[in-house]
Amino acid sequence: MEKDNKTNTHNPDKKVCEFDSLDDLFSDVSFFLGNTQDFIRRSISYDDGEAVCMYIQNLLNSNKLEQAIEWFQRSMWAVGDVTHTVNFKYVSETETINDIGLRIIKAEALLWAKKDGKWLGVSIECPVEHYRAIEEPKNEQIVRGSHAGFNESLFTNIHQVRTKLRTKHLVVRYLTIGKESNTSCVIMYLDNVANQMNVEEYIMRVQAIESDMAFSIGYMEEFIEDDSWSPFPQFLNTERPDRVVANLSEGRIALMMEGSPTALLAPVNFFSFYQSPDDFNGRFLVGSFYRLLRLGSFLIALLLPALYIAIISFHFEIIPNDLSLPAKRAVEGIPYVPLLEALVLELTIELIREAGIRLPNPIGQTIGIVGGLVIGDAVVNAGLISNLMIIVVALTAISSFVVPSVEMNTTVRILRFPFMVLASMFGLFGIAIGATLLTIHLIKLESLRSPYLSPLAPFHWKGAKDLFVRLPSWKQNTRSADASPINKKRQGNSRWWTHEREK
Amino acid sequence: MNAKNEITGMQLFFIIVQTQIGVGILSMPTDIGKIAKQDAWISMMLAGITVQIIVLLYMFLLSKFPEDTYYGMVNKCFGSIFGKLIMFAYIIYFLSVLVVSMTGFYQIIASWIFFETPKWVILLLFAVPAVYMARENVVLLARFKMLISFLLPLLFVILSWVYFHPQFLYLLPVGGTGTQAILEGIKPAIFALMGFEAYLFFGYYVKMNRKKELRKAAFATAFVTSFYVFTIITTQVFFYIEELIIVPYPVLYIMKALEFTLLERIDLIFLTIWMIIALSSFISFLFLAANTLEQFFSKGKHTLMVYISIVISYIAALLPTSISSMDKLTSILLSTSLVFTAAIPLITLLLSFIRKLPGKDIKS
Repeated sequence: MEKDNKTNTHNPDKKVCEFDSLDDLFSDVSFFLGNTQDFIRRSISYDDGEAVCMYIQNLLNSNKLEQAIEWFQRSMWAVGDVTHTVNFKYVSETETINDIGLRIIKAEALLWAKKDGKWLGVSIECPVEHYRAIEEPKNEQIVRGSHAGFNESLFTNIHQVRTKLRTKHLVVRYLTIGKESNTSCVIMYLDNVANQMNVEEYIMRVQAIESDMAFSIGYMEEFIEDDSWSPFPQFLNTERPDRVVANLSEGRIALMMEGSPTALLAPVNFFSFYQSPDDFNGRFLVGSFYRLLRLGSFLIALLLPALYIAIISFHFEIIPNDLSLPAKRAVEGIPYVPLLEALVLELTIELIREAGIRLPNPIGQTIGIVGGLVIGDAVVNAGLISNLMIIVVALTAISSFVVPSVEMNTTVRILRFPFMVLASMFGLFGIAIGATLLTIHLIKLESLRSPYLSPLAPFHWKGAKDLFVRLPSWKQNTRSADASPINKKRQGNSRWWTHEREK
Repeated sequence: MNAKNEITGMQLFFIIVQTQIGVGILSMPTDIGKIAKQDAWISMMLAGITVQIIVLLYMFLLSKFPEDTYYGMVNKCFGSIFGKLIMFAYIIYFLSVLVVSMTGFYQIIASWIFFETPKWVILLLFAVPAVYMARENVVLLARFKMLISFLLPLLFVILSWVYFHPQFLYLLPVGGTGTQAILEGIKPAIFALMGFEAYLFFGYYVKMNRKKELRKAAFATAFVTSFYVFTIITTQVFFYIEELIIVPYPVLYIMKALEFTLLERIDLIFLTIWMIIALSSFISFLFLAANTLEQFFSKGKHTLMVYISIVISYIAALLPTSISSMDKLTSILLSTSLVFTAAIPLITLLLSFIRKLPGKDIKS
């Protein structure tokens, strides 16, 4: 009999109205939450009798809670009822322990009172907001334009997007991921631009995540990306609201998560990783020049060490006459094969970079100087590595940091190693084979079922307007096709007055 | 948008271009020059016209049977037993094309950059990317071809360097070799254009606006012909014809002779680009071989068939050790290729008239 009673009391599906006393209710909810010690009960007396307020101490702002309770007491005394406000909500007495527990976990305080044999439930929302201020993201700094960045609060992040896109078409959909962590996520898109197929696909993938916790958005990315074996990122990470807004208006979809200042944009193409808000803030000639420079840096970072190895070890005759003697002098007397030289130096640079990240700024700079200047100079003087190699590796390192996206940057840095090995084995032939394999891989790759090399393969003339060069903004009247937007037209002719004046 | 197995006319255009421009482009000016001398470009043009006529025949066939693959047409016209036999013959044909182009590739690489590297290594390097691409569907293949086509203007620009010091006198007298020689020159010229049969096989995948798009793609051969004519004229204004006949890969020798301030041996760069283009042509044939096998066994899986074809052709390419036996295979293949590219499609078309098969005319 007693046993039966016990199981009965701790049944999480038991409804509130089935309880007899406040104490029973509290102890059941407390049991549901594992008798955690930060689950607080406060007895409150009001006009008609006793109420109990239950909440988790660390999730709530106690000042606000105090005000809310005071308001509750006063209005019960004056009117005998509480009105719904932004923070006040009635909770039905048919909710189960399970529902109540989840509410409490999501930072609601619940007030329960027994009045005339009926349960009166009120939920009070007053979450603590301890968040970083809005500041410029350190890894995506720009020269001109907005310097705002996302922070860890989903609320302020959505706020930042909303204020930039005041349209009825901006849709925000809440999802919850993480079986244990119950992290709230949002998917944002413009419903008059984004392709509904893509939206469904994105939501489906996020909902399919069976993870127990949502550690960060980079962690979630692996669950939803198209091909995890590819070295290329298939979702664009950004901490900049302006970048998100620009991409949303292209028909892309953003995923954001509580606790991560990063938005995950899809479907993207390879070239979106090489676009920076700076391209659009400046005038188009400058923007185009830097766009080209960045894409050139991709090739340099990927191929330059490989080309150097191929030329030194296989095709020395490719060097023009005037340069061949200095080149020969530099390479002569180096005891190691070019591949080893390059590998050692490249790995040193990676070491310097990795060491520099973790250290505080002043020490980080010292590491850079020691690593770059001292090691570089000493290694040449010791005759271990040729000074041509130093030039090549330094140029490669600089080029690889030009990419305005951190993930693409790491991709490029990793990919050059296979190229170096291929070059050391088969020279230019090996590089060509590697490049072909890479091209085929990029062609196969998809981002949210859209081709990754989009305006290039499949080729669209219209998409090419914002590819290698950036045409003036008023020329880009159509949206690029890679996100397959349902509304291709972006804008009309803004410069009709140029003809007007001629008349 | 993600519709499988459907390509546009433009994509078909580039598939054909990339299938046609293959291993042969390096030796083609010499091969034709041996027969037609300074009038090789006339032979090439005539060959282009011939091939264009064959392509028109294909177009006719394709619009007569809009819902069939080529083998479907063959089966309908010849009956299933003969159809299977013909398909088997095509399998042999494609596999030997694979073998010949692999060997040709190896010969150039071995004689130009890697003298010591074993044959199996070079062929393996050639085969790996080919398999990686050919096992995908036709849409991805088309995208690849289109992307690779950006290399063609590069070849064009490098070749144009010759025109800083051209010797147009080498081309004279126009028509001086006589009609006989020019007509005989058509034969090696057509072989250089081989790959136009891709139209017949890949044309099936063009579904939207079929007639219009097919017509667009028919210009691929004209494009390749003009590119070849350009290449031939370029080699001939650089080399005197007597020299040209001795030089095995005239384009490469031109590159070797040209000097740039930044790079000395531009031929190595050219060869690298050519390698990718040759690979692209090889991929088409690998795809076709696998596709034929697939349809031969009715329910074959494409990926598996690609592996089977590459293994067979890879082993076969390693077998013949002497160059002469390889040359023999090449010449047999070339002389029979017209059977597969022209004769069988023509007979198919004739049979379809005789047997009065209900050919649907699409109007979209």
